[in-house]
Amino acid sequence: MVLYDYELSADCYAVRLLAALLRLDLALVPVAFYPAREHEGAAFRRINPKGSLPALVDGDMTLTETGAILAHLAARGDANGHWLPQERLAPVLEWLGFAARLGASAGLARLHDGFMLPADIGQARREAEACFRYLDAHLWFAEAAGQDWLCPGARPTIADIACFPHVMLAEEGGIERIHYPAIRRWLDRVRSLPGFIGMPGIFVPAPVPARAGG
Amino acid sequence: MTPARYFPVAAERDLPYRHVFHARLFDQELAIWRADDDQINIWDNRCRHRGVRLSIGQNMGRDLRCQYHGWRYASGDGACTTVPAHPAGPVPEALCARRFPVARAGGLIWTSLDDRAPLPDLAGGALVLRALPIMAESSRVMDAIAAWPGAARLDPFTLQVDGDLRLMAQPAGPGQMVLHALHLGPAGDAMALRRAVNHRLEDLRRQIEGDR
Repeated sequence: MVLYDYELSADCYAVRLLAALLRLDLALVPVAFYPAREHEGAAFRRINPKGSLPALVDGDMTLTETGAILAHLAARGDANGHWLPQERLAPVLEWLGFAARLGASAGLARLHDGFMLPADIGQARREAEACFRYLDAHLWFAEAAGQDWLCPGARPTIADIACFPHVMLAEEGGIERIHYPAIRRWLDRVRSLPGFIGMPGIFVPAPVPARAGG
Repeated sequence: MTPARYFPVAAERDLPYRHVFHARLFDQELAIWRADDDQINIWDNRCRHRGVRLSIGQNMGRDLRCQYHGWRYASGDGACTTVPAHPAGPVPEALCARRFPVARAGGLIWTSLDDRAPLPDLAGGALVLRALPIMAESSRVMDAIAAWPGAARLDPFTLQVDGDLRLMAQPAGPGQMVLHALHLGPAGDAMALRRAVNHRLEDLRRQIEGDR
């Protein structure tokens, strides 16, 4: 599988992260998003006519939407179906839709601040804050019910991976996380998954030993 | 001058294993963490090295490690124990994390910016509800709640509603506060109660914040 990739893209990172967690090999082809805007050029449009990143090519199939790419990686690399559980498909899709909202708000604010993308920055931050409030309440009540992840169940799903980068990188778009304590705890849990990888702006924590004695 | 009293800044359950909680009180940023031996630390949220926020550092169980250059500060006295760039050299004794007092009562973690403040007076056994950050001054929020039927003002930062709901203000900074909520007494269905109060407080927040 070939991933057309930009190192600083939140969505490309989500794909690399899931591949690392699944121990899937991806051939990375760097595309100079900023400042060269190579993704909008004629050569890259032969691969993805939308001129957007990420793009995943597997045989004769090309996928260009993050949720679909994550679903494909799960289908390829997760024989147990933990990351895309068939019996809980709808909640996963619900949160993939939410990830797209995060990308269009917190993600857009970051692209505006760091990559000179034109945007209504006030509107983007307000929408991001509304998303974060919703997410924090969801995670607080999930914790109160003994659940660690976005979707009910003992394990994370591709929904967690789709949402994680936009939330983790939001401070680069001028959105602070101090008001979202349940989100901050969930970020810790994602970062402690075995095989977790970082990117510029996202540290890999030192291994945390299992809690002794409970 | 900030009031000589303790304010709630987190709940016990906000501090799980190896987490670093991030809070603000009267514009003072705080890094709050529980060591593996259950000691709770409330520190100025700045590494003594370059001022990096300790809340993005890592809770190592017995000390807190700054994310950037690995300086480590011990639970309890906050003493700097490790400067990786000078592994053999002695660590100056003055290099301590700046600490704030810690009080634990009613399932909440309290602190004060004034060491002389009297400890919070709150019996255990309360059900901790979801705290809600509101982008408004504490006084404005507390005034709005005080107008509810069944609300009684215990002090400028504390209200009792319908006998068993206690609401406490954490003035976070200019134009921002956190409203902490406890249910005193028998709870029945705890989840239903938590959801009901959360709805009520989110309604209040929408009303107060308007379309800011």
